[in-house]
Amino acid sequence: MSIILRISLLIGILVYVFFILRMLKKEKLTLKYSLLWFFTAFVLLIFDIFPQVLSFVSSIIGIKAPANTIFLILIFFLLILMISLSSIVSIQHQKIKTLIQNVSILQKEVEELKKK
Amino acid sequence: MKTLIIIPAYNEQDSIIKVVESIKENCPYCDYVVINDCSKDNTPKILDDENINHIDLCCNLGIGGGVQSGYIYACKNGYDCAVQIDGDGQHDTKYIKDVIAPIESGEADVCIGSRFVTNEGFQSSLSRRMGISFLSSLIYIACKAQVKDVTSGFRAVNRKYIELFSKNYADDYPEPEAIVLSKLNGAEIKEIPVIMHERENGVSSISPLKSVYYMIKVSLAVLICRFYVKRGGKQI
Repeated sequence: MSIILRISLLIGILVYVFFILRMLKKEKLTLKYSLLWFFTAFVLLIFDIFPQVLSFVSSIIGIKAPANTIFLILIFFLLILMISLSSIVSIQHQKIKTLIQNVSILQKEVEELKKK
Repeated sequence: MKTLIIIPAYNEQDSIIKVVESIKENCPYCDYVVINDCSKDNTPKILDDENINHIDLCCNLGIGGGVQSGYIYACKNGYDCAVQIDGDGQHDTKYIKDVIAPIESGEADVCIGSRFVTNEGFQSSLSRRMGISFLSSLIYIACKAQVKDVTSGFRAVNRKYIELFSKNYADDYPEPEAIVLSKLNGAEIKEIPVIMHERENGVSSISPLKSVYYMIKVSLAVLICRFYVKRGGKQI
């Protein structure tokens, strides 16, 4: 990896981490859900600071240009993040459904009590 | 036996009164509840004006979530038996007593009103019948439940399965999944012949375009259900 690529990657990671921290501070992101994002930044940072690690990993899996390994790892993390988002949405869907059902039944009961 | 009839309704302003009237006439010994799933037409007004026992869902949940609300209501109010019928007048309420009978005698835990036992009345199109018979075979392979009309929304269940469905019921196209789920939880399923009518008003919830999605979704659901629930074991 060229020094320019390394520096721009470093700046990118720093901006990225700064944004996550800002969102956390503004409570637009829950800490629980930010952990995976932080971990992604951490792994990228290690590869950026120690390019020999990246070259080593690349040679093992047979990728000639180490930059491609970065892409591969990024895509891998994105997949995991997206699956976890789907899972969060599904869990919330289930909870909201139960909530709507119970609220609606309670509403009916309250109205019946009012009539009496 | 304390019996509740669950009638899910979405935009059924033309048929809902008829359905409720015929229930009052044919089974005066049963309670009923209409689940209004955020209808956009006059259904909520009709339900209020005619003093029909109903639950207004505060957000649209679709058929599965709506029917499940009925099961939760039945569970909360201590009903021993719950019958679900469609709000569009397809199901003839005079068969309700036939559907309840096996539950009452303890002969079955789940009783399904089926068009295909005697093949009388409205039979649906050929393509739908093929789809239904495919699902029927799939369900037989998955859990050895012999049901011909797997998509029928005309069914009665006893207390144990009211509780099961109030906790666990699929969101869309729930009927075939409910069969697998109840069978894997040890239900005795019985199918009795009923005559269904072609719907008078409104549109079916399943358009031709959606039927492909329907088949894929339901087949997958049946298989997944098979692998994750142990027979006679605990629920998912």
